Amino acid sequence: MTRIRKDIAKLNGPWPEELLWYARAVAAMRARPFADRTSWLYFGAIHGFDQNGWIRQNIITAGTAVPPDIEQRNVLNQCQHAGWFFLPWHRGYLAAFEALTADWIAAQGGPDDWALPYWNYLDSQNQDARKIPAEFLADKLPDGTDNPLSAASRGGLQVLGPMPRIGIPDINLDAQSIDIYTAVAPGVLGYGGPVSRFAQQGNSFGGIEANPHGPVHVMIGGVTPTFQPAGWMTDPDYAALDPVFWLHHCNIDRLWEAWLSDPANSQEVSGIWKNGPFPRQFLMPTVSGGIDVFTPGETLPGGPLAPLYDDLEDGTGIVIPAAAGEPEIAMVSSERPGGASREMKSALMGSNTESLEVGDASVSSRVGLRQTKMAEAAFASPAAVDGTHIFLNLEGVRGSVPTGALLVSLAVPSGPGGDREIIELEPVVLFGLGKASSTEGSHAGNGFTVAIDITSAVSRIQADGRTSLDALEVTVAQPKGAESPITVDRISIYRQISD
Amino acid sequence: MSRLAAFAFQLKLSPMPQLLGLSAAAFMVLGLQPASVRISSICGGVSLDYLADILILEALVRSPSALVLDWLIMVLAMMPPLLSLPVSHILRAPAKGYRIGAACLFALGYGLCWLLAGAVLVPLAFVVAAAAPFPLDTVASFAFALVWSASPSAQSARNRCHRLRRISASGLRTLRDCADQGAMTGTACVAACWPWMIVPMTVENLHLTAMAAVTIVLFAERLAPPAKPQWRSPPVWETLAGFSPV
Repeated sequence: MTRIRKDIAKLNGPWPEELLWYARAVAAMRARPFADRTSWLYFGAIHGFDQNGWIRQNIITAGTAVPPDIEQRNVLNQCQHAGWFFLPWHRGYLAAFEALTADWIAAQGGPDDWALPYWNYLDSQNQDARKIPAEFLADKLPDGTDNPLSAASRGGLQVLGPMPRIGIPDINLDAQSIDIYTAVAPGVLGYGGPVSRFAQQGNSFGGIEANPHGPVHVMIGGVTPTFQPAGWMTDPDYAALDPVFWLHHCNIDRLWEAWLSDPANSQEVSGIWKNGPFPRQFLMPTVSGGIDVFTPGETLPGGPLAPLYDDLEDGTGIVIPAAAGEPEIAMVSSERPGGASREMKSALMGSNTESLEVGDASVSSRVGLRQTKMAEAAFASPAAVDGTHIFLNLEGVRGSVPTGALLVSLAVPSGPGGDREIIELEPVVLFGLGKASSTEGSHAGNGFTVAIDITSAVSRIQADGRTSLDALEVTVAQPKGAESPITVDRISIYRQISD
Repeated sequence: MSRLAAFAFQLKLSPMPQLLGLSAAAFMVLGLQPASVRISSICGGVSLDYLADILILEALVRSPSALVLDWLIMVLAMMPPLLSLPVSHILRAPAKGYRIGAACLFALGYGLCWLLAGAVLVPLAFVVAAAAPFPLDTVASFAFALVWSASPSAQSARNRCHRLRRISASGLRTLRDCADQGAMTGTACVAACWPWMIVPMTVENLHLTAMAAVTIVLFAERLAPPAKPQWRSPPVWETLAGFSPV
């Protein structure tokens, strides 16, 4: 039997059969006790679980029977973020959830080919694409009973879009144009993230995780005026408790599938990626309540966890050649991360000289660009930048808020009188910052490293005739109202060199 | 099979092959060394009655430098496989021309921590060996190390072993930062591993085998991800469980 995931906007709504069955399945899973591996709470906790926080939010009580310690260590708190397992882990997670839900639906007499729908929020042909699907907002189901799809803590935003007050940028498909999966070299941006171990919160995002993944989470979850999560989607420890989480991640997964179908892109298939992390591994509940293991290699096209979608073009930024037939998957076959034929290299151009603490006021720091001979050559003339990518890196970004944001700008001299031009960069969303910064949990506390592509900004500066680019002044601020400081260990500039 | 492959590929990720090579070389040096200059040989011959005499004899009359050298080679044999993360960091963070200097200063900072730790741990090993006959001293020190590994303090120290600090891009600051990273990692490493280092020093005849066994235990502990500091089964079990498909 073939399951094909479909665009929620193209289903026969309102309240298409697929969503009605999804709602009933959610209600059935919610009725199961937490320790039951097929329960809603258990699946939410696989993504992230903060026992005290769940008690504070009345998701469970102090007396709720939780899974045994050994199972908590092995199966819960498993989501992979800010590392190169982000995409395959979430694909395996979706597959386990879909199998369980579809099994229940078929057992109740529903369709036996039920598949998770996806929310195609970046479909430019659909003017309502960015609206949270109405079925996830309605209080009641068509039969007048309570709607389990809207029973979630959310921030209140009903149409996805930028949130300038808190520094959340608009969502876009820029990541779809990154052609290499793994950021092997330091300081650059890959599609799927840098080499990492098992990392519930690793150190550096891939392009697709940075946008649209992170901003959509924060737009739906929202934040309070003091930048605490307003709703579940903003915090990885709660995000998967919201039924809309699964439709969001289904779309992220589809964006990856579309990216894979473009022969110009190089997917990671090194042995270390395909076999997954060690010693912790990726474990998911089975339909019968057992536990099964999966590897990233199994999520690739042709593997047992590879999904099928009704369309890979609308809202993905990928155009599939008409005569392509079976999509040709571009995968580098090598044991080395990043592959042998499309090697990614980088060179450090310069860095600032001190760590920064960003509180309620902005902080500026000078990044010298003439610290190495290579950097001197790279910034000697506008032509030197052509054909390369320049990245501004914020390294070792730490903070205690669950999710934070930073507003970053460049100041460059614009005239002989000392005038300066300010170039605003896209705000940085730090989904899961608190977890990544915690030193006493299951994380090393090294925070995040964020790579921002500033190639166009540098080209513009140099095209304006300011060829003597000796340094960049970088200003970092938090959105107004943020009370908790965020620290940045180092600001650096890297140049990507592709063979 | 995929679990073995997952483990094997971890060993291939740079700089792990180089670190394993360094460790193997140090083991070979120890293997070629005359047994008489080994700390374990001294431990094998002491008793409480003569402990004070032997400490003075070894420290002052015989060459103290031989003891120090033996200790440092022992550290060099056992610790490199644990250092993949910080070594990768100090090699990737600075500009290209600073990498050799960065590695040397990291080694200096890290080595100094173990040198100072040796000033306490080697005499402590003499005391342990003198207090009980072999193999009771080995069994006791092993049991203590196992309990230590299960403790919240050890977990907190292991968490700090994963910590990375700012490394400047160029200039003397880079070298200073790398030395600081070495000292930071070294301090955490000493705190996490110190009872385990006593175990092989109490074994005379199979000293290198005991060292290799403890190295594997410590490597397995370091492979386990950071965790909340609380009493738990020693993380070596968690790593061994990683070989099981479920």
